[in-house]
Amino acid sequence: MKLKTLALIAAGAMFSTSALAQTEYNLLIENTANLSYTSGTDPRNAVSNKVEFRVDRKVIFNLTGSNTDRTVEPGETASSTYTLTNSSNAPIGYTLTQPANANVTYIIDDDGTSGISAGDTRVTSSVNPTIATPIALDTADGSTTSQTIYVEIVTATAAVDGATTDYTLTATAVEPTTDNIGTPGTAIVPTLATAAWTPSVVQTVVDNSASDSNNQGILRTGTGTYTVSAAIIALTKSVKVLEDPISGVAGPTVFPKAIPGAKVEYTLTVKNTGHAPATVELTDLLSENFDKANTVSSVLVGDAAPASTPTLVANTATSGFDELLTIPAVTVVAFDAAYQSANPSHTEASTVVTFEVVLK
Amino acid sequence: MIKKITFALSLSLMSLIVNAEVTLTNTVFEVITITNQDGSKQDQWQEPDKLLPGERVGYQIEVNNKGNEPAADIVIENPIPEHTTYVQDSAKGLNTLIEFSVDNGKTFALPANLFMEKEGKRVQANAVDYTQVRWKLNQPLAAGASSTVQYIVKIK
Repeated sequence: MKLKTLALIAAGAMFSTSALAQTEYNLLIENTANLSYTSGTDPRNAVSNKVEFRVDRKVIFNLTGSNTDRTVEPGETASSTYTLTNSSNAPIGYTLTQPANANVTYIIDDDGTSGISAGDTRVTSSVNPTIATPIALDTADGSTTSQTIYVEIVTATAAVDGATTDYTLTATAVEPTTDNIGTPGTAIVPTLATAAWTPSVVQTVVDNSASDSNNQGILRTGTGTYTVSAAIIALTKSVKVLEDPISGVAGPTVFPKAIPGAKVEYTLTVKNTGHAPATVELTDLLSENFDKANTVSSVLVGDAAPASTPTLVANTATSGFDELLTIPAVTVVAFDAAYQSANPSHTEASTVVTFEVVLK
Repeated sequence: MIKKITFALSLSLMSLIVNAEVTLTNTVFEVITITNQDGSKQDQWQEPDKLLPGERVGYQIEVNNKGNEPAADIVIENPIPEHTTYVQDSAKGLNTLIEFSVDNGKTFALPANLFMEKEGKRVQANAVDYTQVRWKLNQPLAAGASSTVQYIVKIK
């Protein structure tokens, strides 16, 4: 204790405005006054009674999170980071409440390696090691200590756009394994405000100022929602005759027909009503009745040359068809809030792909 | 018979001996700030509720002369308890000279004259540096009279 006092004085001298660590609970504060006086010519001394009391325990802790609400993709494993801080003047233990959903894991970053790692303690919907071994946050010198807790959510690969996973991370202050004023692992019980003060007994005061429903101040919660953002893709196909050898090129009054030698255009429209963009590969098995000499070079994606060169390969798996056209890496933007705001009349985002064949 | 007379004499002599007998009584309070209806704030000394870091503790020390002669040169000295710091301007006592020490009671002085070494420089001591508070009563305490001094500390 002597050393600690000296250290504090030294620190105070170095940083004149530094906040000193708070006094630990249970320390005895004693006070005795001394007196000297003269009776006649006789000098005398006396001492007062000793008044002493033990410093009571105040329980103050916080749970703060970052990136608590997230947008995730199907198949993604993502996490939010929470910090549990003990600013009490006593060591405090904490238990976590198990997550309701099987795809949510609370990971206590306690293996000495910063970040999520295999050695960390995990609380899932089926196991809760914090019941047997609460998170220990010891304010050794009355200073603040903290513990990082991750909320990790695994989103199923089959998850659909707009699906959500909610979590409520709840930390409860419990009596620590040692230095406790009650049964280890049981919730800390604040001393009633109306209970008389007893100088020799440590009483417990809990910070109940947090706005959440925190059960007399011994609970802190962090909530969040993970929302799946996925593409919802649909494909439509249409056909028209661009020109025929007799009618000529289509125009306001020219309507070419599908006669041999006619140039035919196919339109593939990739539609996205999901909140994520997508990259798709289009394949189209083409009829043996088409001359496809110029098909690859005719491909347009969104009225522009394709990002990746399409291929046309022989494929006779299906009777009547002889070549497979593959148009790789066709992108379609997300039908998200930004898109909808910019295109209020659209009911989907889309990319139009066209190619030409000639009827034999 | 002779024995009896002696006994009687000593009794009457004893009652003639004049004596000042001063006792000290120390009482602890919790000091809280209350807001008056007009918005002004003032300290209130009350029975402690819970005593936590950052809270203020008041000590009230009563001197009581239970003797039959005035007590002179009364000096009350009280060390600032460990784990607490003195609250500036909180020491009070009617007709007293209040001085402080920053060297565990070796020397005492008024706050304006209290200096200490900090970072190799001689600087004026702050209230948090005080180790002792001392009250010197300016006048003798009459037989049967009492007086009270007080001060406040803050739990670190």
